[in-house]
Amino acid sequence: MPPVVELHGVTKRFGAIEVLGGVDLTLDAGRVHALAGENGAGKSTLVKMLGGIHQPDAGQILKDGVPIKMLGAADSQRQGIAVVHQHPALFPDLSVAENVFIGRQPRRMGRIDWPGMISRANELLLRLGVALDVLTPVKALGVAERQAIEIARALSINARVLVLDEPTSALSRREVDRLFELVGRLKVEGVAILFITHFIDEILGFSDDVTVLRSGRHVITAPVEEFTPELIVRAMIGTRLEAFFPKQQAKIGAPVIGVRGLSGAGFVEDVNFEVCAGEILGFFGLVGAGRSEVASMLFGIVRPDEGEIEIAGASVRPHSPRDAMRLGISLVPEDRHNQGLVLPFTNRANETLPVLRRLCGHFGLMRRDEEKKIATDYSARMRVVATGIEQVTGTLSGGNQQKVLLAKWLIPGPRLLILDQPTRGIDVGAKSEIHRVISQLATEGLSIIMISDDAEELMGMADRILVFRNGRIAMESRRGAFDREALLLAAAHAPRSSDAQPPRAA
Amino acid sequence: MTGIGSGPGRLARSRQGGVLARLLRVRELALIFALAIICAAVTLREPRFLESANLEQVALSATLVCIVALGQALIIIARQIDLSVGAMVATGAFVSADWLSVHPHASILWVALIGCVVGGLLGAGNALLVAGLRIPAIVATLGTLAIYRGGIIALAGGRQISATVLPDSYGHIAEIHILGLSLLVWLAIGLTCALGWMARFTRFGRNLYALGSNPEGARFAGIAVRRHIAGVFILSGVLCGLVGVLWGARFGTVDAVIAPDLQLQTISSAVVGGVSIFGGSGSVFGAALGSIIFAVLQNGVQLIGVSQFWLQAIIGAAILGTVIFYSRLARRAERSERRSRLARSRS
Repeated sequence: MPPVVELHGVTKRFGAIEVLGGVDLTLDAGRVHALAGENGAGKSTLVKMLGGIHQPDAGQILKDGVPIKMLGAADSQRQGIAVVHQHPALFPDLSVAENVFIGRQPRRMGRIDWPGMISRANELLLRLGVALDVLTPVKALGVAERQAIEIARALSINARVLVLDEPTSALSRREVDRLFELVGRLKVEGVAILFITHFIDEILGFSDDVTVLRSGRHVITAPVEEFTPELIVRAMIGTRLEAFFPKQQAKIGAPVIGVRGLSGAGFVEDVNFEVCAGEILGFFGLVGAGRSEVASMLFGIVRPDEGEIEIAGASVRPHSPRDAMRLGISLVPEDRHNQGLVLPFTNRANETLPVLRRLCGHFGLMRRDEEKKIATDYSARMRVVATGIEQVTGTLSGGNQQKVLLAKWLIPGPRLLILDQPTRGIDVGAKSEIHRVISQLATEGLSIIMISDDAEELMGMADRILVFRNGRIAMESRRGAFDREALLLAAAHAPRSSDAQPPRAA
Repeated sequence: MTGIGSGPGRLARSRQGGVLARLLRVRELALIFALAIICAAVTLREPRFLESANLEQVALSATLVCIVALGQALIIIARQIDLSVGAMVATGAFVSADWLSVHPHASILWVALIGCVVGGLLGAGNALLVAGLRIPAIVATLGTLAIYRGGIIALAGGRQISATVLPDSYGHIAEIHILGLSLLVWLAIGLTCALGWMARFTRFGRNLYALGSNPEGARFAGIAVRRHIAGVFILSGVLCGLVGVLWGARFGTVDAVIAPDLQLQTISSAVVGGVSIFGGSGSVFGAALGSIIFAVLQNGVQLIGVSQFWLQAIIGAAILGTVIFYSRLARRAERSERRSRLARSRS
């Protein structure tokens, strides 16, 4: 039996840049094929080719051994290829049922068969084990439910190939497990699955075959048993493999900020901790456990209901991000594109945005030389790889954008730096560079709170880790005593689902 | 969001809140409610409002705006906008009236067809720019607004085609009554129902909502986005051409500068009728109701004897008022959705 889908030497150029050069890939029925590679390795281009969005400049796509041409998403669906894109391509205003069948709504005598569509959507979701009111508009749903709808959409075209482009990056651990369970069922039904992810443990734990791409080139394809984490990483980044988390031990000084009995944001309750100079404090937990909420209370975005924040012995109440900045707190937000950066601005303009007031001279005019000097200094310290401080930030890679964002929030000269998921969606090479920068900052005496989903990352970087669960601190662990399983258990362990949910305020 | 146009979703979602809140969540009902209040208020001040001759005037003035607003609503739902509708109506009206003055014995259906074809061609011009050359609709139609209007003014050369050169049969269209209602009003009702049905029960209609809600997603879902956008601009052009013909029939005189504010009136009708300016939600029924509300307001202000200048301010207040109302409603609905979802996931 020939493979369901084969790619033979596919090549794709955008202008002068070759993003894919002669890549081969084979997808077999009933097998999960993981595709790994750094950002910019060509994974997303390959996905878009399978989805009919891009057409190869050279090479062939074969379906059941027969060459095919796909000129749009509709063609790809007709071939039985379902693609779940990185950013769910759903319609927030439309109902769940319509989202499942959009573009292919069942019809009867020329009109859309609403009752039929509703019952078929119900059937599909039932098959996936998801309980949803199919008439709810999608904008009222969470990320995990949205992903289930995308998969239901794939089922509705009787897909023989399912392509998942980084499906897990926005999900919590529990939701990831659910997703894998769903995909596992499809695998048993004989669907060929292509699975793109940044997470090496997901590759090792979930796939049957692995292909690694690097800079648009095919590096290796082999059954998963032949890989170790180090092998995958080495194949992804080539020769410039660095130590995973290069933490330099900093000298830990006196407490900089203390938090006592902090409650608020709907469900955070009685949170107590201190951060010392030179210390990296890790916040671990599932999405929605209260980590980011504590950060937003410290940064003055949300006002706490109760509790005290102390900086250098004095009790403070930051009422706005501006207040918090004046108190020496910086927050590097999780969402780079919307909350962090102005993508059409230059690196210089992005970096100096928080300190424009300070850079104003006579008649409110900017002191350009000083601005340039600051931007150049910090870009160099953060090792931003760019043509210079005048490059438009939106044209940088994700890792370099994150470095610009770090520079932006270091320039005000904070005492406490809060990093919310600083390496999410960033490739391995850039990740360890950012880790090195963070570690370096700590040795200079900065206090750092680092929020992350990735236990290993925190174990590599933090001096202490607080595990959040349901708005409370469930566990504290010190460097030297870190235990991955204990951390995960503390974050995810909920005796019964009924008391697992935080009591959200109405 | 909650509308006839959003499909049967509304049926399943009225779980929370009192009866009034539940009814208000269906936008069209809220609009009918508002319309009733306005009518009652006007009648209290000026009972002549309810005289049948006056009501007929209101209906007729709503009719022409309404038909154009239907197309405008579909365009806005698809996350586009058409600023050239007034110029398309004027062109359709002038060309068809000019043709009729040369062929006074031609059937009126031919005239209507010519109007629709002219409108359709102008709409195709917009479609070419927006869907073909990917120029943002607001810029493209700003350009065609000037081109179409300038072109017809140049063609007309200041001429006016008045009732004296047009056959009587033309003006008679506006006087045909069926079951006490003018043919024009019936036409508007028919078109509203037809387009409302299309929006809800055909793939073309639902895909317009989809691509207005998430254009990138629509492409990824295999919807021929550009073909749909082209289609809806051409549809708007055809409706404008038809209204041009009706315009001449109703007013008897046609020149190149009629309907100067029609784009603003139709956008206002759509927005007040609950069509989201960001695309993806609302309905043509809402837009039709919006045009009626404006016609009633205009008539009421005239009857009561308030200065015409105040009319502008009242219309502006009505637009802002409804938009604020909708956004609060949407936020409330979203919150309660989220709460009920949370409750579901907890149980």
